Amino acid sequence: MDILLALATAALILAGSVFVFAATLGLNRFPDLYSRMHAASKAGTVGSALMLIAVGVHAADLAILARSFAGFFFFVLTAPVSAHLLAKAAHESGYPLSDLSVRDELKHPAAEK
Amino acid sequence: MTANTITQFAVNVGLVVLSISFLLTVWRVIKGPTLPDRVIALDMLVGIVMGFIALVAIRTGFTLYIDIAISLGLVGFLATVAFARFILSRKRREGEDGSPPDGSSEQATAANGKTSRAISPTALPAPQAGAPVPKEAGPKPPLSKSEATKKTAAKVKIAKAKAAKKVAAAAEPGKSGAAAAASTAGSRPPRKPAVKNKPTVKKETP
Repeated sequence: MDILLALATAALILAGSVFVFAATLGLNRFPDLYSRMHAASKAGTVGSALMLIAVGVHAADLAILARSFAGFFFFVLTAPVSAHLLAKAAHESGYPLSDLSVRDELKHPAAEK
Repeated sequence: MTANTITQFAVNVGLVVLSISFLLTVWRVIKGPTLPDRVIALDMLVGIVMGFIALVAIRTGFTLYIDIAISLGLVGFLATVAFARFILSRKRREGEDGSPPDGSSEQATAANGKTSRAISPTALPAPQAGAPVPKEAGPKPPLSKSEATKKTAAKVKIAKAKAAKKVAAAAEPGKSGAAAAASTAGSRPPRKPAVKNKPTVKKETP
């Protein structure tokens, strides 16, 4: 039972670190502000949240597990909100998309003329 | 191979990977061409530090670190929201990422080349190239472009009015010398639009 918990904790930690590393690679390699945001706010959030759950699983205590799940849901729910606000603000204040992007659905109609 | 060694091994691997990710994200903060890039990287840094705190909690056994991680996440969320409001109120500076101040994305992409790394050399001449219309280009670039076309249209109007004046001045001595009634009747229609143009030009020039 002990070894099972340790294996679950190790799997969660390794999965979380892989997610965080993928997010960092995306943050450095993507060409665009908005695609970088896509990498950082999804993969990075999941990575950190998996590590928080790993703490709760490792402690094997209901109170600590509940707190770690509270932190998980808090972080997973707030990261998209902040990323959406940042993307909206950046798009509205005129930061351009990359050349590789196919279409811009939020484009202002006055920009067409 | 006990349970403790397994978790310690996983924690060590996680710490190494998180350190590499942390350094790469710091590189994006330093290099990021625009302000929102840096804000995203700071948000990412908060997430990575939360991971660090969780790993230290596992390693030391102090589960009270979870509360610290939650409060750090709250601070990071509020900081990102505040930065988003700041970016919204500040608007984009011209030439911040190398695109010309006209702002239309087609021209920006044409000037930037294919990658974002080739931008920085073009960042310096860009504001000088767009010097005539710098301040209106700030908030809404496409509108400023239409304003520029309006200005050129006004200049064209001024030039046309001057040309019409010259034509009228050249026509009047000829008229007074020849004094033909039929020629004055024929020359009136072209003079009237010139008279119409004059007041509009005078209104726009100040």
